[in-house]
Amino acid sequence: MLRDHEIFRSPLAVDRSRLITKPWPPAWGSARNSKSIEVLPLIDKEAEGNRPGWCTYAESMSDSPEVEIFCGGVNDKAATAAAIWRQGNLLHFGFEPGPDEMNESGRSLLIDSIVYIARFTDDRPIAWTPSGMGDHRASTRARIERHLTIEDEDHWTMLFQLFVPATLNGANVHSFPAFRAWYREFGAYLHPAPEGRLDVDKESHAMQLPPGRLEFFSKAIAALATQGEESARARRVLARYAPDGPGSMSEPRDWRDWLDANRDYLFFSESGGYRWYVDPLAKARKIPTAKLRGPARASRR
Amino acid sequence: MRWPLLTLVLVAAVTPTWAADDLTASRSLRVLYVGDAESTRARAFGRFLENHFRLAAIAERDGFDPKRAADADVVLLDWPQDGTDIFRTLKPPLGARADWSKPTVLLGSAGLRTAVAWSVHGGFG
Repeated sequence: MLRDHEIFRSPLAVDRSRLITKPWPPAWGSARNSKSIEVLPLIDKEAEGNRPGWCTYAESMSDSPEVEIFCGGVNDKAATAAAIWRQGNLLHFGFEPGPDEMNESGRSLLIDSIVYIARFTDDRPIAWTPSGMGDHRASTRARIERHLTIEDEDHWTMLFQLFVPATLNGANVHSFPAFRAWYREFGAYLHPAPEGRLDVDKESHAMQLPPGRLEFFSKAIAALATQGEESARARRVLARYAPDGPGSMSEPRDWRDWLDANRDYLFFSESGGYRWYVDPLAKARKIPTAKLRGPARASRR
Repeated sequence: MRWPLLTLVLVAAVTPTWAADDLTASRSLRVLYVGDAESTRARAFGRFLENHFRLAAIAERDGFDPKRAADADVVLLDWPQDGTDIFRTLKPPLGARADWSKPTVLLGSAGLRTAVAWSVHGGFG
C-alpha cells in the first residue's frame, strides 16, 4: 500500500499517474475484493538476474511506536509485507535495483527516502527483536490469529509449532475449536519459551494479571505490598515484564515512583519479547508515546 | 521480492509538483554510500548521489570504520545477500547498534542483514 504520506511528496512528488495494473500475486493467497493490484513500476524493464529485494512482515512491527510503514511491493510473501518503512533512524528501502536500473519514479522515491530519514537524528530502534527465522523468536498474537483464519492441516501444523508442545498436548488441544477455547482463556498470558516457542505464564495467569495491559502494573504493585507467596510472585512478574524497572528487589514505593515517571511512555511489545519498554524519545520530549508517532518523531522539519 | 513495484491502495489524484525549497535544502545533505566500493553498482550510486546531494564518499563496506560517518548527514548501506548463511554471527559494517546514531538508508537486503545483526525489525519477511 502506498500511503498518503509526506515521504511521497517531498522533495519530489511521486507521480501516481504512472500506475499500472498487475494480477494479484498468487503467493498472496486468495484476493478478497479484487483480482488485480495497482502498482507503480520503479524500473522500466524486468531483467534476468535481478537480485531479490527484501520485504518485512508488517504485523510483527505494529507494536513499535518508532516504526512507520510507507508502502509495500510485489513480493512472494504477503500483501501486507512492507517494502519501504522506518524504524527510528533506520529507513528500509527494500528494493534492490541501483539508480541506473531504476526509472524516474524509482529514483525519485530513493531521493525522497534519503531526505526523509535525514530528519530523524534522535529516534532509535527501541525493542530488541531477534530475527523471526534464525533465532526462533516467539511469534506474535497477530500471527497466531492469522493462522486461525484458514482452518486447514497446513495452518494447524504451523499454529501448533508456535507453542511448546507439552502445553497444548497437556490441555488436550488438538483441533482448531479446542485451540480457540484454550486461547480465549490463556491467550492474554503468553510468554516466550525456549526455541522461540510460546508458553503460558502460569504466574500471571494465576494472578489474573494480563501482562500486556497497563493496569498490570497497579495490580502487580498492590500484590507486591502483600505478604508471602503473592508478594513474591508479584515481584517476579514485575521483573519479568518490566526488566527496565527498578528491579526485582525494589519496594512497592519504588515501583510506584517508576510507574508515575514512565506511565505515559510505556508500550508493550510482543515482537520485542512480550514485555514493556519505555519510549526514550517520548520521555525526553515529555510527549506520551501514543501521541508521538510517524513524522512527529523527526528532529528536523 | 521479484519485480520491484509498489502496491497502491489509494489512487489519489495528486498533481506532480516540485517543492523547490525542499530540493535546495536536500542538495546540502552530505551522503555517504557504504558498499562494494569498486563495483559498477557503487559507481552508479556515486553518480546518482552526486547529482542530488553532496556526496561525502563512497566507502568500502568490508572493514568500514563507523567513525568515517562522522561528517555525513545520511548513510546508505548496501549489503546484499551473497549466498552465505546470514544467521551466523555477523559483524555489522556499521558497528554496534548502541553506537550507531546516523540516519541510515538500508538498501535492499541490507535491511535484513542489519536486522539480524542488530536484533531490530526487518529480520522476518
